[in-house]
Amino acid sequence: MLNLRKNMLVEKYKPKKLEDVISQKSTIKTILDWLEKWKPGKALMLYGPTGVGKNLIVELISKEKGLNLLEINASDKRDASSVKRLIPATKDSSLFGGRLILIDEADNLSVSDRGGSTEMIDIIKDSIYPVILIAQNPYDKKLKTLRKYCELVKFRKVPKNILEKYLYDIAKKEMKLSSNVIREIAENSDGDVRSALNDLEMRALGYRERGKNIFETLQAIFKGNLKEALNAISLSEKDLDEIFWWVEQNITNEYTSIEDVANAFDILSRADIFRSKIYKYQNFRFKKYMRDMIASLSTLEGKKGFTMYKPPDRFIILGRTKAKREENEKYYEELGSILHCSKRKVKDQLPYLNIILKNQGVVKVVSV
Amino acid sequence: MFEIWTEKYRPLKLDNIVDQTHVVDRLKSFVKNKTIPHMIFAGPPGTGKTCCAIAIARELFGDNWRQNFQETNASDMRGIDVIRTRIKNFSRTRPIGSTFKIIFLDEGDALTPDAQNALRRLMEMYADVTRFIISCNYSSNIIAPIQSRAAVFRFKFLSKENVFTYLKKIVRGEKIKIDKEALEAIYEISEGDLRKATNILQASATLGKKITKDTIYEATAKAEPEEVKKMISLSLKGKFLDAREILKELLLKRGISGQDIIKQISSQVYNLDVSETAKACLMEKVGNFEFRMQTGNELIQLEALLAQFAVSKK
Repeated sequence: MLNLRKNMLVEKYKPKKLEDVISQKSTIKTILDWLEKWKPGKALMLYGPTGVGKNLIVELISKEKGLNLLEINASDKRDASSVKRLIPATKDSSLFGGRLILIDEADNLSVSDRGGSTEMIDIIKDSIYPVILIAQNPYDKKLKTLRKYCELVKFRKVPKNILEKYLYDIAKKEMKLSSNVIREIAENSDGDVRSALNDLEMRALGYRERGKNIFETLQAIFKGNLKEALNAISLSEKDLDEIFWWVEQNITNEYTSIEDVANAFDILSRADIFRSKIYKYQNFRFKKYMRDMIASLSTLEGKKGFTMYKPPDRFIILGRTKAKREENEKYYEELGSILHCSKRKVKDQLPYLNIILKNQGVVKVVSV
Repeated sequence: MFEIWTEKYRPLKLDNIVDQTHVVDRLKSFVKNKTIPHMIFAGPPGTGKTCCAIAIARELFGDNWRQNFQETNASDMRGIDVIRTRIKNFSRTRPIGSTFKIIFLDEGDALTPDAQNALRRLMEMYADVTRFIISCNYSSNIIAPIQSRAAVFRFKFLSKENVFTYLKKIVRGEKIKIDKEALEAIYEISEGDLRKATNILQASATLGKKITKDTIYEATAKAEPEEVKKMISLSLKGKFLDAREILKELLLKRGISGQDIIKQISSQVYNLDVSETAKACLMEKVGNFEFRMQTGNELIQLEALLAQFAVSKK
């Protein structure tokens, strides 16, 4: 038991040298080049999916460059005064070689971390050592100002085939697993090396403690009874909001009669009222009712046998049209400030405004 | 620079505000005494709330009015953050060449209760230098503590005569021609909303210098995407999946607001090829889902409505 952690695959196969890190060659080079040319006042912000090696690479770089790594992460209190306390360490020269400052989870400032972001900017401005930040979402609005002081470096997911080969090599040394299982793990991991290694280990141990995946959850909601549905929702890997959108997408796959479809949408529409109250008023008590409404879909008769459930296309469509929509929103705002009204009112009047503006030869007309 | 008649013909003085005399008279007495209280302007859209706020600022502050007048649309930024940052920062700055300045919060009923409570504090803390004018459609959506700190002004629906007088002024100014029937049509479509009426007039004027009833309908038909009609007829035929496809296209790809879509659906119901009883029944459903949409997600609520349309024939 004592050595449990050391024995875990994630620890055991943690790369010891930069050259052992899989699939991030060009990113590593970017970071090294940046360090080479670094001048005070500018920081580097690393972002990208989890488990692809952001922290690891920073650690290895500091090791190979002989720099002392000074790290603050979300477990530290990061309000203004706590961050301020770090400032000396970023300013005095050290007898024991250079330093590298790492601010992990930079976007994960909680409400109690008020002012921390401004202090981080001060650190970047004044530090005599290079500062590297890691963020999940660099475009978070909390990071808006901070971002101006940072160069962004995006980490990509580890490609499936590279990950599969990597897992395969480890599995060969450690356990007996069919290549099918390994492929499945690689596919499920979505480029996250850490979770893939953990999965591999669990598979090898012969058990996997995990929640119900979304397909099992949907099956229980659509085809089970109320109790099974409630149970599946509470055990699901996905949170209630995600389940909600999966249900939305699949109502028409599950129910064949239009009456059932209409009833199902009516139930979902009522669940949505609770859902909106949860978000608007942060009233999480309503989550219970939202859950119960979704589970009550089990009272409708689902399709007999197998249903092919599809992921919600709403997010895909929204993602694809995001840039365009953002551009439009900006335009509505501009128009709104000229016309003394809100974006909402601009949108309201847009069909007429478009006709008017087009006629006056205004090039930028938003399509309706 | 383009020209929008709602701006070109916006009344700049309280004297030129269309109707609303019961409000304007009191506002004028404030101007005369060179001070105003916090105010709530409640009333339907396009009845002069923003106009009054701008006019009062111009009359109080003269040429400097823009420096002492901040306009924020609450519906665009309705969280507590905006109140704590932007609004707060402006509230505490000193006015320029005046004893106070005005913050105009348009669509204040869109502010969350939290945000309204934060606002209420600002109203007290900076009352020596800042006056708030909060506009809203219904004053009941403004929390009681704010209502009690402000003078509430209720803007009425504009009468047909008043809308006509205003539109005729534009017609003269733009040297276009319009007949009585066309004016009636504009009034009917705009439901007394002067902003909308003006936009309809200008959109129609792009089709020709002489505006008739037909020109108005041509312009409004252009403004209403055909897809909404198609969507309704598909779902009435029970082809829910196809109808839903169009809905997603309109909402998610083109970014048309759900409010707009449901308004158009409701304006179509009486033209549908179904029995009178069915129309009444559908209308109730439209109302029901428009109501739910006020809190809920636009896509979900409209999907649910289309599904109701799809079963209605059976």
